[in-house]
Amino acid sequence: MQLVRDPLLDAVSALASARDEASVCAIVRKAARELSESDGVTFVLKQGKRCYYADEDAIAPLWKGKHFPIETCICGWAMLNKSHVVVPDVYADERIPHDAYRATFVRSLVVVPVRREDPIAAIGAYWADYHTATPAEIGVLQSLADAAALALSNVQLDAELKAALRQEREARASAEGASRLKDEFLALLSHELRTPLHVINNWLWQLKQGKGNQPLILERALEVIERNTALQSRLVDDLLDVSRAAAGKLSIDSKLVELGTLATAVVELAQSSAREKSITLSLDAPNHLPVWGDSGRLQQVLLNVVANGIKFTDNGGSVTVQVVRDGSRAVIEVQDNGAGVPADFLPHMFERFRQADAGMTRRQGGLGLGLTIVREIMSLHGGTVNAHSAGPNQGTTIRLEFAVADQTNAASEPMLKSRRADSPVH
Amino acid sequence: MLVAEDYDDARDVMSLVLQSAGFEVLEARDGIEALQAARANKPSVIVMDMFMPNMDGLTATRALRDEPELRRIPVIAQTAQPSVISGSRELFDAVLAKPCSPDLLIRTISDLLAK
Repeated sequence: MQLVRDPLLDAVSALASARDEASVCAIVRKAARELSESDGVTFVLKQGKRCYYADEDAIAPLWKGKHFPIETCICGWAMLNKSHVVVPDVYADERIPHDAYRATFVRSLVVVPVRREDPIAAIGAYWADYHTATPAEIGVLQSLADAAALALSNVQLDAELKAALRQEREARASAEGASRLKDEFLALLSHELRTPLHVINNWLWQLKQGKGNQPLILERALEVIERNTALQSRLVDDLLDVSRAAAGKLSIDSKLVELGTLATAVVELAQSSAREKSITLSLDAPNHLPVWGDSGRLQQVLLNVVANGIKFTDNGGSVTVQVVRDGSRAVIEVQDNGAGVPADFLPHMFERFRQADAGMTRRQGGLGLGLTIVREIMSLHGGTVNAHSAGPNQGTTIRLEFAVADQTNAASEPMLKSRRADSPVH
Repeated sequence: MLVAEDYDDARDVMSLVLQSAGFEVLEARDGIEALQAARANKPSVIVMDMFMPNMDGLTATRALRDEPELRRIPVIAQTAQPSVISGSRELFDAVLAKPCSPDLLIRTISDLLAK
């Protein structure tokens, strides 16, 4: 018995293992040409309201790579009517856009839809002379089209499955990242709260031993206990602020604030810690630059940014605070020539729990909440905060920006207040 | 006695506490200084903080355990985050969590010295 090669069976089995659209096109193109014994075939995909001639195999070029409106294309007609179409003479058929055919060899054709119940593509076979496709020719092309429909569904399902898997993996990685960040934060929080407590405990023990009788020791004890108590209160305040902000309950009490006066007060407050590191802390501010805001909160913002500048600048460096008016905007820039920020950390600087320097040898204390609070408070003021740094050891500039309060925009103040329903009204 | 601790306020008061308990105290501000001080002075006990710049306390203690001259010196880990050494507990002769009462620290040191 002689084994007869069946091109349709070959195509069906090849389509069953096709994993992308391009291989489906290639298999269909080759099989359609062979099965129809025509002079050319096309494989046409439905793309919305257009037909896309994705692939072809013919004695001379047809329309590969071209798009046609679905209504003016015979393959479109087959897809819209969910039916095969036989055209023995293209120039005698009104459904055919004759101009598109004049440059080609085509005289007759047959088109079968792919996925008959809801066509997604079509296979066209073309002859250079008059030819009326026989039921057998149509039948074999339609079988190929049905197998192609199944293959295209497989490709689509495969792609959807892969996309879903990828999405799931990404979501899990991001949840794991967030959970790890939170665990690290809780460990850090515990560390940062216990450290000053340890110091306070040890000094209290010393005092209980009667060491407080020596005035110098007593003075030292009180100074250290005071400093560590303040450190802990600040940690707790920051935590509460971040927690309020997360719950949308951080509020501001708006009044007219002179930025120059505010900045002068902040620089005076920060001067002693700058001196401890021999850092030159300078201020350049105009006499008159009013904004609407909460002076306590704005002082907290600026002090935080200035303290950060001092913290991340080596001994002998400089931190400058510049307050300027830029059109209708009031701008405070705090520039240091210190540690700078790695480019990959810049976008995360204002996120909760983030610090560039992790691990057991991290040099900087704190919880990494300061800039998160700065951003929240600035946003309550309708303002913005941005960080710029050319990279490690290139210094950092933090820019705070909000609207100047003057006659022309004084009307915006009530609007600012109504930004939050829970903010106090005066 | 060697106290390795980067936080000035903590190192300062722990030295005072140990001095008032009658010990002679050396100070180190990070793991590198701690190793140098240990090599130069062979202290009888080391109280080691874990989170320190340049070289952390865990790394410094591992290095100590690798040096035949120093490996037998008792090391007390004193840390505000004991979880960081949960996997390396056997490196240390004692682990004390901050805040830790000076009485407990002194008792722990005395016990180790009596061994």
